[in-house]
Amino acid sequence: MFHQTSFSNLGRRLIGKKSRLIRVTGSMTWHDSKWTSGGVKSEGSKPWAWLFGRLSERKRKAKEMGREVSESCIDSLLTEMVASYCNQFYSNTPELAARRIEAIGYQVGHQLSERYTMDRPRFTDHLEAIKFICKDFWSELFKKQIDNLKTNHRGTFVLQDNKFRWLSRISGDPSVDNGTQDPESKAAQAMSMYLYFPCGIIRGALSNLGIPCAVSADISSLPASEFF
Amino acid sequence: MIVCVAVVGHQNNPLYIQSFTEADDALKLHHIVHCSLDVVDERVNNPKKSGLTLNETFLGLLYPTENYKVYGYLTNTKVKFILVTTDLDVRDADVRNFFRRFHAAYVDAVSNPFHVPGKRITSKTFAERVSNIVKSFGLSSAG
Repeated sequence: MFHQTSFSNLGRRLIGKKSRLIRVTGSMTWHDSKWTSGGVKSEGSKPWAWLFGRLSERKRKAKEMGREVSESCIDSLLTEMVASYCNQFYSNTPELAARRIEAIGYQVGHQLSERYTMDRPRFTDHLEAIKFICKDFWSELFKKQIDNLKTNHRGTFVLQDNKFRWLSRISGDPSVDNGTQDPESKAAQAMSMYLYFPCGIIRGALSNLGIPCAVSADISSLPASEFF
Repeated sequence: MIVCVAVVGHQNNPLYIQSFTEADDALKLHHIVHCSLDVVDERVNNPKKSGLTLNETFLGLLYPTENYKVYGYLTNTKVKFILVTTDLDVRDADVRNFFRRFHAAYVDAVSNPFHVPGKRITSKTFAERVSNIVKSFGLSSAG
């Protein structure tokens, strides 16, 4: 029940689907928010896209050399990216900021999935691709696998990560002591901004693997997060 | 000798196509690549008939013509690589090796943040790398 309410209250457009229908939503978002199309604003957004491209490149090299990108670097970059978009570029329109952040994630996911599927046999069905996301893809990104994968067998998948790395350093609202966040609270809203990026990554990876989808995130208790 | 390589997107849109012949037969090679797309589709949709082992990315010899042999490779992201060669005596291992290196080059090219997904690959570095790979393919199969 909690999930249902927090979900609609946050007013996200979501609901994971199997659908051809969602595909329209997905691709529209992408075009609307693609960083090359944004006139003046694109000046501001390009450096992020560029930086993340470099990071994925560095990650690859690091892997070859047995090294990794510093975790705190990624943390800072994510924090700074969210801060810039929310407070500088689109301070009046949080929805637009969220879309931009998601679009950057989409691009990163798109490119990473290309790289990480290189040596694998082709996937036969959707479940196999989702499993790949849960196991190998997540391990590459976060050094751990998804903790729980649920599905209704009609195209909706719920991926649950009980200790999501990018949220592990965010503290919840101290005034809430029952462990659940009030979805309306400022803290929850600010936190939700940080989840658009991983959402975008998942959506980018899946759509590159031929599964058009919509991805949304939900937080029940820190630092757990769920992706639909 | 490799006469042509091509990268074809998941909607059968050409992403990169390059011929390596002196003669002016680019159009003919493009035609061959185009024809091979149907063969790729057939292989993928009827894996049993063509005897493919477990969804491998390497599709093997697609079809031989009088002068050429055409090989195919399909990535997880439904991008097809096509190789046209004039060598009649080609070892499978060589072709696999070629595609593996080609795939690596492709992945690096699309990881460029200034590359727009689904658009033609215009990177000079990629072109250079591909021609290097193509050259070394000739060497390894001769030697």
